[in-house]
Amino acid sequence: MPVDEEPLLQVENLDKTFVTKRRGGDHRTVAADRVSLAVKAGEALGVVGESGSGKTTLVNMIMGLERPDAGDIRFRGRSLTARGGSFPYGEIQIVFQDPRSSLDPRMTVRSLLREPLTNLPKARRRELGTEEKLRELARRVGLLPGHLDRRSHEFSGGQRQRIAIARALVTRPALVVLDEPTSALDVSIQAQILNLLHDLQRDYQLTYVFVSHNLAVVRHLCNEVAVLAAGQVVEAGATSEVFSAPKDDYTRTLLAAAPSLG
Amino acid sequence: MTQHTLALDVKDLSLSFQSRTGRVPVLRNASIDIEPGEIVGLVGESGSGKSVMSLQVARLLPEDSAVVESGDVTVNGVSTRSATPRQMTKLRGSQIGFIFQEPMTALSPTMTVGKQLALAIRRHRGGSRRGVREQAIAALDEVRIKNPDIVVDQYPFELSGGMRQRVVIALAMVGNPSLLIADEPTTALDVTVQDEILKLIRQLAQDHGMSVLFVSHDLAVVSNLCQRVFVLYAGEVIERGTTRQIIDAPAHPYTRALVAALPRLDAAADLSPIPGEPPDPRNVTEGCIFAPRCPQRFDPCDVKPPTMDLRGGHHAACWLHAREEAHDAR
Amino acid sequence: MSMTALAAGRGIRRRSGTVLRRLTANKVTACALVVVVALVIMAVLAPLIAPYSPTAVQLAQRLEGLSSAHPLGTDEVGRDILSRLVYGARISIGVSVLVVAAAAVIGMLLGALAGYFRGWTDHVIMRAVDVVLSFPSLILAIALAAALGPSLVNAALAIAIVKVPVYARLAYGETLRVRQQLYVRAARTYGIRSSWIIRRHVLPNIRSSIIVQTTLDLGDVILLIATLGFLGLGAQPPSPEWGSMISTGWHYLIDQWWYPTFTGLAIFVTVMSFNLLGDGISDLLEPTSRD
Repeated sequence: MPVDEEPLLQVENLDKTFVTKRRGGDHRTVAADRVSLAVKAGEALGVVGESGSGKTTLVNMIMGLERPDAGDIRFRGRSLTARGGSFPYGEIQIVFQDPRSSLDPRMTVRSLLREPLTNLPKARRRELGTEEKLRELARRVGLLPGHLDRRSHEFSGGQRQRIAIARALVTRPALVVLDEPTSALDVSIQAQILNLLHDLQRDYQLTYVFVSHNLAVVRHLCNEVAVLAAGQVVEAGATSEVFSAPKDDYTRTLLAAAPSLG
Repeated sequence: MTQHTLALDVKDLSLSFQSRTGRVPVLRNASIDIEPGEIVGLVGESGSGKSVMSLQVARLLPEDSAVVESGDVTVNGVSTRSATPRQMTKLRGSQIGFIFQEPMTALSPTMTVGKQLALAIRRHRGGSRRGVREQAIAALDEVRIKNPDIVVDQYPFELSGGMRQRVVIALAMVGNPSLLIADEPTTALDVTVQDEILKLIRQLAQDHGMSVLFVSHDLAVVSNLCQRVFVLYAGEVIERGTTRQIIDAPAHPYTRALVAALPRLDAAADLSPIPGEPPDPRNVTEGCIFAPRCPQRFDPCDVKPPTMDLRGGHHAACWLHAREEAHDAR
Repeated sequence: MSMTALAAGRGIRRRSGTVLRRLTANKVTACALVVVVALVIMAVLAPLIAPYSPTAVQLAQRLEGLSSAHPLGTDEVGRDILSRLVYGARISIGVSVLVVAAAAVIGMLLGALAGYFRGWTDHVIMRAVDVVLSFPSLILAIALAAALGPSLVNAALAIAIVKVPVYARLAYGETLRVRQQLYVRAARTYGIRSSWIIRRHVLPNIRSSIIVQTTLDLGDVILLIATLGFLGLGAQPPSPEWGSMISTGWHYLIDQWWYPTFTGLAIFVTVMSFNLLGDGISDLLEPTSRD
């Protein structure tokens, strides 16, 4: 991979402050303080942080659900934050933490899988939404063709997350944001999902931004990592280096606190 | 070994839930023993029956729907099977302390921390109003809450998740229990906070000679805290042993798979997930409960394996060890 | 892929028991259901069941007592009371169903819009709702019906206006809950229009609490219609509306007791069984009492 290759996703100096009005002065929460990240195509970037670190705000800004106060997010070199610019729907997809809440319990798996196509151009929607394509995708994530007619509340947590992953892939995205995708799952099911994500990344040439508080899971899936604390990136680099020789104090605390079998 | 009183002795407990369609077994002949002062882990995935087990120890399950089919639970030599509701209430307060995954469920949102502690303190120790406040502050201090004199007047919603869990622990410690039951107390917390809470539990156990039953789905957390581990699968204890035995030399294929499925910090090793999902408790197989998912399944597995003694307190319910045991017996 | 096939077979849960069986498990609800079904059949098949026309005047037979020809007697102009009660069921049940349905649909839409968009939409809709809800519903219905002029249609309209805010507020709260769900957030990341999200996600997921409320409201609305009829603000003579029948009938309570008594009984039984059935259905559908 050439060194000067442009990143698929580049986050530059993002600022975001939330102001809540209160008696006796407004309360300001800094969710992002000059946050910069870059992910090259085919890589997996882990974003590690605890509650209040600004993980969720970062995800929301990447997904176009929230506008940064300052800074820029570029996808394939094009700014996502510029006014008047359109968001590349379908190219960036997300898998949320809790598949109980991210899948409408009243919809069948088939309509859930088709939902991300709703806003795509008609030709593309037709092409990607064929019964054959949906069946293939369902099979690929470990569901049976018969499952397409069932409603999501009939499935276990692990299977729901498979549905959520299939739903993210239905638009053939380049970038998938994984927001704590396994933290609601049992260990044995978590391993299934992590292996699935690993295989899918290879088969579909996906780029991942993997947000998690679980260091071991990040270590397993990501080649790059950024540690987020109080809205700031305190350390970033190759996962193996950051984990074996952390430079920042907070990273060290985090690593020391992580439970391990050792 | 001489006969002595165990802090907790669950013997062959079988328990079912009464549902509209019939009885659903959730625990089958499950046994757990905890020595005084010992920290023991109960590991299992969701649906394994681990929470049911922890609740039944204090008979906290609704008695009309949770039916004990057989077995007994003994806390400090006192059988809970024949205990009257009044005796159970007394036992829960003075012998058994509880902490849960979501601390807010154990706290009243409309009372200050101090008031809730005061209620518990007066119930257990009596005493004057004045002294009670001091005791409440001391209780908060013991669970390493900074500025206990401020926190004592705060409401639970003003506290962080970790602080709330500390308050719940302080409440549980008021009766000076000999057994603390901790049901996933750190699952909802951040890693650094989890680490502090685990250290606190270990310290309290040491200071008070208290036993702990630590219920968790996370083998890594359990291995850091506990001396011995019981592995629960679909309502059955399929393996038990010291933490080192369970982690370094797991004997049951399920435990092995559980260890192999855990991502590690030290190396990006490949994960070997356990295929499939746990069985539906309404229709389980005749033989070994894990056989349908077991990679090492062979003929004998059609018959339920007995718990085999692997020496050194290590036990596993798996036919793979039948030969070793027979060999040892000779 | 044997591993995933195995996973597939296991995780699927089944619902136990049909809705009807669970509904009739409670004896009171079962009785209420039977009465309601009977009343509805009676209302629908009124021309076949009623022995006479509800408006056929026979002055020669006025205020007759119970007889085989007139099982519940006749009124002051000789109309058969049984026939009038049977036809009256049509008015009470039919109009209340229409009123509740209209109020539910309009209220649900208003509440969903306010809850989904928040901001000024929320302010305008919910402040209007608060204004309406700050009046006692009966007084407001009477005032509106009086202002619109006495007729069955205007009475129905007045009651619907009084009931819309009840549904709007319920839908508003439920929408705020649904709006927090990740599936709404997910839909927004697909660039999906708000109208689509409201139609496909919000409305289907707030529907069940609205339905529960309608079952609880039917009895109330039947009573409101009768009240307005009694006050002369609803259905006008010679319409066999129960409320207006009582308003003329109660003069005869001492000498021809059957006239107002059976009419009152009809209202009582109908409202009671609709309320009991509503309670039964809400117990079944309310998430809190499930499992």
